[in-house]
Amino acid sequence: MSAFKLKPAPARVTATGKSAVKAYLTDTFDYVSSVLTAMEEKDLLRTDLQLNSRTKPHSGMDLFMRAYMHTAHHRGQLVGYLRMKGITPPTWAFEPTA
Amino acid sequence: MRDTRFEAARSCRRAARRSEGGSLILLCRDSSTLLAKGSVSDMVAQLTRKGHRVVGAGIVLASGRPLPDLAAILRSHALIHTAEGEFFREAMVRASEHCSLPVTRVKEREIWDKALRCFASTPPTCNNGSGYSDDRSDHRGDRMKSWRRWLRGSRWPSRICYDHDQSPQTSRIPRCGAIPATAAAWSDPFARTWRDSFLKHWQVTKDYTIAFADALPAEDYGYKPVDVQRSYAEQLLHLASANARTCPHSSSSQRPRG
Repeated sequence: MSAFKLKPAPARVTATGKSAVKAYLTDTFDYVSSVLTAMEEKDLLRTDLQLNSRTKPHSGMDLFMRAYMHTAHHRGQLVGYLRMKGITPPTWAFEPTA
Repeated sequence: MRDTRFEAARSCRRAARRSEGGSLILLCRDSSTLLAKGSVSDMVAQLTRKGHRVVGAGIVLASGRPLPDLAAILRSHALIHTAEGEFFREAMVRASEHCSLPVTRVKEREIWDKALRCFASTPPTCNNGSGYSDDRSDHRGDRMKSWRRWLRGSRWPSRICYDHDQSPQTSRIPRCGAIPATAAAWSDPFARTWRDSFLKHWQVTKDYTIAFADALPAEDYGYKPVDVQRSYAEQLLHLASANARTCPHSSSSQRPRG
């Protein structure tokens, strides 16, 4: 989300303690929301954002959808980790819309 | 929460007087716990289906004074009822814990003051116009009414805290999300709808991911089922940093296409 040059991303955290990880998660989720809230609409609709030399150009929306799916991909893996530890994973609940 | 197969629960007090009380109470405790577990998990399932996430259970305590032993309880009619209250409260506590809900216990006479400290900086005023903390207005009915009125004028914090149509001043209760209340004014209705929809879903995905961060004890954060995988902590750090840094060099002005 730093692509939009709106505000600096939270400083990278490498500490693997629970509280540090949780704080970094909170900061980065909030960061994504704050970027989308503050950005201009033309940046959401532009289609020329280049991730790296291996990918095709992305739209602004593409970046947010990538983040959403990437989050679900890694969080989904943790279901197995929790099960291996005998812990029931958190229940997924959709918030009602509107 | 009554086991119809277990009418013995009703005759517990009578039986208790006849010496086998202790073991019968244990039997009733198991039965009540079982029923409470069923009721609480049904309740959680129903709320979940409606889109709520149950994060804890609150139990209102009576005076909180410790009870004497069984023989002394059985000698006093009043204490029998007190003990009965404790008995069912404990069943609810065990059921809540069974459903992984953290239990908060609050004494009844402290609940309003505690609620006030948690939610508000401005105390509601009772019917008689005096402050809530005035002992003369310390009637439960008055307090209840003024709290209800006060709460009606506010919005409980919902899990989705994004609502840019609502000015922050209208809510007395701080919202839990960190999304600014004012999103930029966009003219394109599609872009606007897309953005607002994404922000709502993002809040849900944030809450759900943080629930995963909470779910594993800190000492297991280095755990990985297979050696080549990321550890639990590394998975979470990876997804967090990816969210922050998606396409770090990606401005079209900075890097040419292709």
